[in-house]
Amino acid sequence: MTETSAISIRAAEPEDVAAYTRIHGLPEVMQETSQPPYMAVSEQARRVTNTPNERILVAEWDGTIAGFASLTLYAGRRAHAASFGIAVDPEFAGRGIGSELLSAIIDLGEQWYGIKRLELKVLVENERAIRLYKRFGFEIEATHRQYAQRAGRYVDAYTMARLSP
Amino acid sequence: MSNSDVIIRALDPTTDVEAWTRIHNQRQVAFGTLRIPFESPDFWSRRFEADTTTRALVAEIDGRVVGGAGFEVRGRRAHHVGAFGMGVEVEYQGRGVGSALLAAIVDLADNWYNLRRLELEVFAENAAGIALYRKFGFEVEGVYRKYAYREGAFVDALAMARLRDDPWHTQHDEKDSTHE
Repeated sequence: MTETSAISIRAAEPEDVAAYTRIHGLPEVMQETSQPPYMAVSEQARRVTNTPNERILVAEWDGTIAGFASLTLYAGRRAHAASFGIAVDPEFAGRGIGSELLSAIIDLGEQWYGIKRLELKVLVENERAIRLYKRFGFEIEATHRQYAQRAGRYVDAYTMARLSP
Repeated sequence: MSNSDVIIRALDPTTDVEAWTRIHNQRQVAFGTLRIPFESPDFWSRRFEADTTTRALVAEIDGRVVGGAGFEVRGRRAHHVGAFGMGVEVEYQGRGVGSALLAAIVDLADNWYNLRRLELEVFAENAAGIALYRKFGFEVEGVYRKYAYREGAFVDALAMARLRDDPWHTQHDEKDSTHE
């Protein structure tokens, strides 16, 4: 496992549900992800529950939970593919946590689960995230118009994907 | 055979599972979808029972189920979005069954669920499917590279979608109502 001076990555555990709910309820995080506001801790248990097809990671900064990432594995004719999502507490922005989580997701998927195609949807306005994904070899494949509702309007999203050579 | 011979109705899980299974096990139908042949009717029965969000439709000609479609509203922050897929029995392809199924889905989306966006994936080589979707106003949004495995190769799929305006601000004229 990679470890810089302060960031460590581990599997999510049920106890992480409160931190998960708090972070995903922050306005800055909600802007860029798919959850609405006012989600209750009691309904988020599955979001921090690891299953064979849903692998959830936690990033900690000096022992404090600073971000989450989840890797969703597909089956059957899409078994070579997986999707993922990343959320970082804006309090910890700019410290490389997004990069560490993305590195861990790519490593987990490609090196251990045989994933050849990593894909995700990201809102077009989320320029910071798009730059991060491009740095790791993701390319924009599609623009989905009026894909999601965000702060009262409909916004577009990209599908980005990284293919193994 | 014209479209008027095709009847679209809801799937009945007590009577339609055998036909649905047979159609989706046909190699050419699996070829155009994400299905894998040799699936059991029991798999589909359990799936129809467990899945309460997908609406399954069947197309019938002379009392025989010849095609099916699954339609789902995505919900939450994508409550305005619907997604669907369809399959037509090989012997009945090219006869307007796909058109009839798609017309029913568009009817559900536009006239009942008030969806702004309908989306689907279709294999890039499926020219007939792509032409059908274009006919109903779907546009290509991009290409998913090596999207799925099919008969020994990884193949691309197109993302297609159809958008519609929000009718909230449209003044409804009572005189034009034609429903009884």
